[in-house]
Amino acid sequence: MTLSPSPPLEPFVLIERSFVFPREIVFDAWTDPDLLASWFAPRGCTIHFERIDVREGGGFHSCVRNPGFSDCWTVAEFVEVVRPERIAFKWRIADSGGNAVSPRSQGQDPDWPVETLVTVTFAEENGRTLVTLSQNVSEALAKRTGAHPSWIQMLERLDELVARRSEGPRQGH
Amino acid sequence: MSATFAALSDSTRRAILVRLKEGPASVSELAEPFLISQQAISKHLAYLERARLIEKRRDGRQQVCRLNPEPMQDVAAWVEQYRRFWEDALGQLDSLLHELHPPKNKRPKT
Repeated sequence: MTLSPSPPLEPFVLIERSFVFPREIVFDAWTDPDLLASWFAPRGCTIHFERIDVREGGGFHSCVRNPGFSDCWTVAEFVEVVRPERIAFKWRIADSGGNAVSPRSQGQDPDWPVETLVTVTFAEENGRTLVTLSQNVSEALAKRTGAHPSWIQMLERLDELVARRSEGPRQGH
Repeated sequence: MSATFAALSDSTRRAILVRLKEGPASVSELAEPFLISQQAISKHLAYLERARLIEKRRDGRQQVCRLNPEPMQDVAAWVEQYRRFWEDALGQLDSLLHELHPPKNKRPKT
């Protein structure tokens, strides 16, 4: 499995975080299933891996349990696993059987970008590790719907501006 | 959502939205910076209106357009949900690493 050689898409999420540990240690927390299971979830939630195989071509099927909400299943396919430098995986919403599910079944618009590509790089600087995480909509989906992430970012900025003008905060889902 | 993305797939329409971010504008004001006919601009505006990204209102002799944030808020909420997930998870990763690898020379005496 290789990534398309065409120009990289602008990510809609780009996060940098520095850790005071060597990068092998930080990297292994992403690839050791037990370690991954102890942090890879939103705060207050737990994650359970139904299946996990961290290597190129492998993947995982996971369930995030959030008290008071329904379970959230996802599937991922690892595109790159290069210790201790880089991990990339395609990620999408699934059902409990591990089948990728349509956005419609999640109450979303049929063209909603369900599949995203997450790329994580680990750079060592003086014994610390800089983790850079980016998330894109998949190229195939971007082509099909025109959902170029830079437009998403533009929308976000527009939205922030408009949100400041409106009377009150919008209720989340 | 597909209507939103399709409407945004054109650079003229994106430029119109960026202009409307500054506040409502008449059709002729919107057409001004572009080297295309007002008729062509009207087509783009109709497209944006169908996608609910703008609203048109008649004000005296002219039509005034304003931005409608709703379709964009859906997109922004979707982005925010991922951002929050990563901030949480990476924070937990940091705590876990500190737990697993306490500093050797600063271990508290028992």
